[in-house]
Amino acid sequence: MDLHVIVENLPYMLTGLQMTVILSAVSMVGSFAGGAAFAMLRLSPWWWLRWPAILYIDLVRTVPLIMVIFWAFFLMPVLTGHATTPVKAALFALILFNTSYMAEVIRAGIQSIPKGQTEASRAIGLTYLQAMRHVVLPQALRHMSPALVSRFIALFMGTSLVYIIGVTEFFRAANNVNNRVYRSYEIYGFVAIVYFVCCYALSLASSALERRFAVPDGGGADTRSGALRSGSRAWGARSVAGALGRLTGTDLRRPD
Amino acid sequence: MGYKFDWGVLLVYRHLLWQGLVLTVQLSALGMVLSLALGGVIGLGRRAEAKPLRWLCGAYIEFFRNIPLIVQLFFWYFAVGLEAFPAAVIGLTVYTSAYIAEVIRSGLQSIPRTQIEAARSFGMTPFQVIRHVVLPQALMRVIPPLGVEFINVIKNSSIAMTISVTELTFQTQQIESLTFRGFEAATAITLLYVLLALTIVLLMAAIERVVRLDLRVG
Amino acid sequence: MRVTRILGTVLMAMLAVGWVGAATAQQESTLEVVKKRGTLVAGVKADYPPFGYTDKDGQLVGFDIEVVNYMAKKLGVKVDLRPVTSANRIPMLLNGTIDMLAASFTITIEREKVVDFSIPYFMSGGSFLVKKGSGIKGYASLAGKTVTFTQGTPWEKKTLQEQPKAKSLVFQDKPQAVLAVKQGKADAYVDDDIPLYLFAKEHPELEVVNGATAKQPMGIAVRENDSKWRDFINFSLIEMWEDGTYKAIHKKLLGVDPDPDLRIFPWKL
Repeated sequence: MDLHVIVENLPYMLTGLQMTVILSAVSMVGSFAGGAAFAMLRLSPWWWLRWPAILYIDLVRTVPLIMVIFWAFFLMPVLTGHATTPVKAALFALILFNTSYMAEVIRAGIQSIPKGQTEASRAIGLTYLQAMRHVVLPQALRHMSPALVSRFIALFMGTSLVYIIGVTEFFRAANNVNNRVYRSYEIYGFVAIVYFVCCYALSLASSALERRFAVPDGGGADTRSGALRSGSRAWGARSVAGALGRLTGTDLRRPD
Repeated sequence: MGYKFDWGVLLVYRHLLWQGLVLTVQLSALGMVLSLALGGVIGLGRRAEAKPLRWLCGAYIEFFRNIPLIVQLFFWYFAVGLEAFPAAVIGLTVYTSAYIAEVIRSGLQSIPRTQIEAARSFGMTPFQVIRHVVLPQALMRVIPPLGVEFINVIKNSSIAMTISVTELTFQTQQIESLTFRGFEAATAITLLYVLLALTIVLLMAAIERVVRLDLRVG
Repeated sequence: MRVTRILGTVLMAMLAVGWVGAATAQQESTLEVVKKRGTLVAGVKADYPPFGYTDKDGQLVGFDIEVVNYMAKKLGVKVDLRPVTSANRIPMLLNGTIDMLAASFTITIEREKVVDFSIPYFMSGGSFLVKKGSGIKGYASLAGKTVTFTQGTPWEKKTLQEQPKAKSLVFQDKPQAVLAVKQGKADAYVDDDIPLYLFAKEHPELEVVNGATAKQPMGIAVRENDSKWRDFINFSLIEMWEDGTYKAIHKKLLGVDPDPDLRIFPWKL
């Protein structure tokens, strides 16, 4: 076990980690904006807005992230009209991919607020936008926060794939080192531990958020809170459950 | 770019597409079955009476969920030294089982204790409780998220290309390097992934209908 | 519902594809673009000693990098090095991400159909990297054996042509292929000889067996229909040769004089 090789190359690998964090953070912000937009489209009453959104959301989620990265790589220079950097292509791919998940998370969050809230706000004289801004969205955000952290974790881990288009994030940096020193156990073990520490810490934060914003209910009878308690990654499942339900003609969101 | 399209290359290299599809299906199918078994056991263990077992299963889940799959694959292939396909199957299974364990755990947890207590007070044996009360409800709750995880297996199988498994995404690159027609290859292969995902959706819907029937009849 | 979904997917794909098809090639020469931009964006290898690799401090160094630096200095611009792999180097050039490709790129007719090559600036043959004492002497001895390659190199095609009974194993990075031979997952690794020599030096249990191909020229690649840019690159290579820089770099990085088969003519009477 030659830990020396890790210590020696730590500075280089840490710059890679820096890139990972930057990619994740920027993609998160970008895909939140995009996801909010698509969620609105998804919820709109006009079918010609709704269906393209549904198509986009479902299409991007069935394709592997690696394929999305390849697509972004081919498409981006064409769309922008000039050359692009691997980092920009990576961001484009990550945002493209994550937006579809975020759209579902946001949509589920908005729909988790009982209609009564909007109705009550309108009844006391708030406009639709005011109701959204002061009543619905703050609550929705609280409900969504575990799922948002969960998506951030997924994004953080997903950055490891942009190594194939040459972005020097943490995984590629470690790979470059291993390609020189050939100490696979040490290097990949180190990489695994670093990812674990970062992502586990984030998931603990997610659990803490869940507990703080726990939806009060009467016990485990309601599958929705069951899903909430299970640690937020099931949020995606909830909304897909809705999607699957639509496809098969049953509403899988309600217990039995 | 002035890109000229040549969809004919897909016909010429259809043997590569076929090879990719076969490997993706093999890898995914094995991954789904094995991770369901493994994940089921661990999910149950997470709800066990014995605290050490609960903790161990919890640790397993947290550990393998929070490390990117590509890192895990590299570890099995380059560090441990397994052959490509076995490394991919094991890596995919271990990774997915952590997620499935969570799904199963939350499915079981969402069944109110009162149901079980009531069933026991009716005089049902533990086995009967499981067979007639817990299992059907658990299955109903668990099928949608399982469908999601199975689709994830198909998507994640693409990562095996980095350890030399010649599955579908690998073939995108391969056709590209032979013909420089990346766009056509990527389009065809994207369609194939969509079809595979649709297959799972239909499968899960069919399973769900069967379970629903069983619930009614049982 | 499902049918709509599939049709929708196909429609979206076709829309995207049509969009790309409608894009027209840029008419301005890359030479002007680079000068205006003030930076030369070059695709180089990052894991392929001695052509392009990362040193201990994470800096990209190597023969190709020296060539690129020379040209950037001539233009008076900065250098932006982009790591490429054998698999993504052509797409990166074609889609405009990089201005030039100096990535141990062997000149082949197939490649010339999609890119334009400079005059040859390096000679390299193909060889086999095998475990010492493996008894592998050439393509004939590879029957039934597992041979490894990196994706995007022409060696898999060539090997399977010469020896259809070989099984292939394809990786993204060269050192991964070397590791495969070391670990016994493959019996041989076929690639350009120069890096194989360096790999063999690093791993005493491996050795290089020649004879995969005769020496082939390598060239710098640029996009098609860009004469001014290609001229600049050719003239720079000629200058490099004439003023002795080429020989100096070659000696420094490879320890030997340039291959006697490589002649860069001055194109002057």
